[in-house]
Amino acid sequence: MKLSLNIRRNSIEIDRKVAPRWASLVKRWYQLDGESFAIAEASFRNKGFIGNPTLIVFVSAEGCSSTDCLFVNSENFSPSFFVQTVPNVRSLPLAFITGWEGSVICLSKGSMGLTSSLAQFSRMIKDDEEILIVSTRKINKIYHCDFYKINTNTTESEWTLYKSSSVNESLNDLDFREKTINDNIIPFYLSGLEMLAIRRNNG
Amino acid sequence: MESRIFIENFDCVTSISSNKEELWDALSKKETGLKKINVKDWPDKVKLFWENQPFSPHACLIQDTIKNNSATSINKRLASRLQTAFENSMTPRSDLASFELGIIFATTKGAIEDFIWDKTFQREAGQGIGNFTDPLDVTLQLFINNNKDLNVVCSQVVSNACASSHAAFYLAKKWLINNLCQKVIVLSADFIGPFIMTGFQSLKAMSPSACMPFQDNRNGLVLGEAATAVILTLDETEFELSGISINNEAYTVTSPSPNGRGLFQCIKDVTPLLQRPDILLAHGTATQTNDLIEDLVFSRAQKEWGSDFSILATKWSVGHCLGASGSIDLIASLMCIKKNHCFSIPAKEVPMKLNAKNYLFNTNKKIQVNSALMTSLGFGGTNAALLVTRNVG
Repeated sequence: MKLSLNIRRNSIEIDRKVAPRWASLVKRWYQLDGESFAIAEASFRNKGFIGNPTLIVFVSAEGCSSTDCLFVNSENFSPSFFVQTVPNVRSLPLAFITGWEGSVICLSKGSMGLTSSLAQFSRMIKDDEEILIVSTRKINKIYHCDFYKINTNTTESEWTLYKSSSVNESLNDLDFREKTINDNIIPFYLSGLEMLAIRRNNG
Repeated sequence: MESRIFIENFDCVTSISSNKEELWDALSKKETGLKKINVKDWPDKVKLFWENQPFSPHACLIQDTIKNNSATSINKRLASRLQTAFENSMTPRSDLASFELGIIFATTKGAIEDFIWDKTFQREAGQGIGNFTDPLDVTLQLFINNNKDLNVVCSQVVSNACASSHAAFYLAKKWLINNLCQKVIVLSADFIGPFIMTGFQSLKAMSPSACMPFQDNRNGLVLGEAATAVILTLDETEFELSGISINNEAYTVTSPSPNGRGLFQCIKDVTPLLQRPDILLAHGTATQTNDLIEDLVFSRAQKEWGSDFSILATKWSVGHCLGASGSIDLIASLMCIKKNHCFSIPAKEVPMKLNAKNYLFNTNKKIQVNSALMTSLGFGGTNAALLVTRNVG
């Protein structure tokens, strides 16, 4: 198995005082929670990269927990927060900005959401398919919203995803992300007999 | 040719039943699990909110058999309910344990009530702490720990709002046809507590009284609890999961497009020309928008197909079970196929404003049911449809 993996990392600090460049595309943009706002900004920056995937998978280590907290701490329980306490709502700004429509699936696997999704979906991709995994994580005031695109076309890929016998442990999402910045070979997933790694092409 | 997916077994716990046969009886007898909620353990802020609402909180809640209920965590209560549904559903356990299994837990908010009122959790959420506990994932982990004899090779939590069950079946099908595992246990459950109740009331989406799907005087949804287990396999059984479609139509956060374009597309995706459904279990939440859009879409399907499939719903009885609602509708559909009999929707007055034909109001109906379609709509523009058929070889 050899698959193409392309990655776009985005680190976003939100400033709601100024209308974003995509404000005209997303109604009531100012009501988006932090994660949705970050996804909107990242989608705007990477519209060409996102393209037309057959499936989009959303993963987030903390799910909607920070918005859940905003809802219970809001004055008289604000409905505008409540509607954003389900993760699939986060697919809307991406769809509004890119025009994409299709199948969305939202997964919650804690700190291993991204790496376990990469491993599972890499085993399910067909020749004519492209799967986009959108991973969001807030650390302090910065929202990290990253795109991981898998397909079978390895000719122009930045990374190759492959089976490797040199994997000792599964990485959590934060460690995996960190390694994609500097490392060229990243063994990242171990489950039973399944061992996966990625290798930077031309690296 | 794509592999066929079959339903090996299924069962559930609801506010009116402790297994699928009891659910069937209760639906046929028009029973509802609707009760007033005891709010004594709710946070003061929530109690104050509800004191200012035009009606007191009510929902279709499961009466747990666990001793000292109020002192038991929501997580343990959800896992216990899932265990009951799972054990009811099982073919001999030793048989199942010999397979490589996938487990998917479909839920909207999982065990959120255990966490959300805790100040430490509130401080840590969104701070990027390495081992942050996901309130949705803990129940699945507890279930897996409680069933260590099972050979679980892959697991996931799917949270696609009210279409979570449909999304879980979509993922389960992908796992099976790509040989990630040999069988998939799709679990689903949600807990109705102060967070969920207050959220839906903040949206003014709840009925002050009963849930009345597709009726002219409908006035909102009633929430409910359920826990379900559905076991999927590649081996032929009596029931086939013939089609599953999930689509994001990107219209608005809380409403589908006015003509139900996304839902109609999902229905088309799962119903090939020779497989028109005999019955349709609607999402049927009894909100103005949901039922209006579903009725338009069903009417269009009936006209295009020249087929007057019967339309029924479950939420008037068990309430809206959120992430479990699609699985409950699947189980009710399978019982209709099994018994060749359909339950009906209680209605005090015959609705006058419907476009689609053949809603089953008040009178249960004996009909040959070989296929059933289930629809779902959720926040975030999610639409979904699922087709299940009697396997005739």
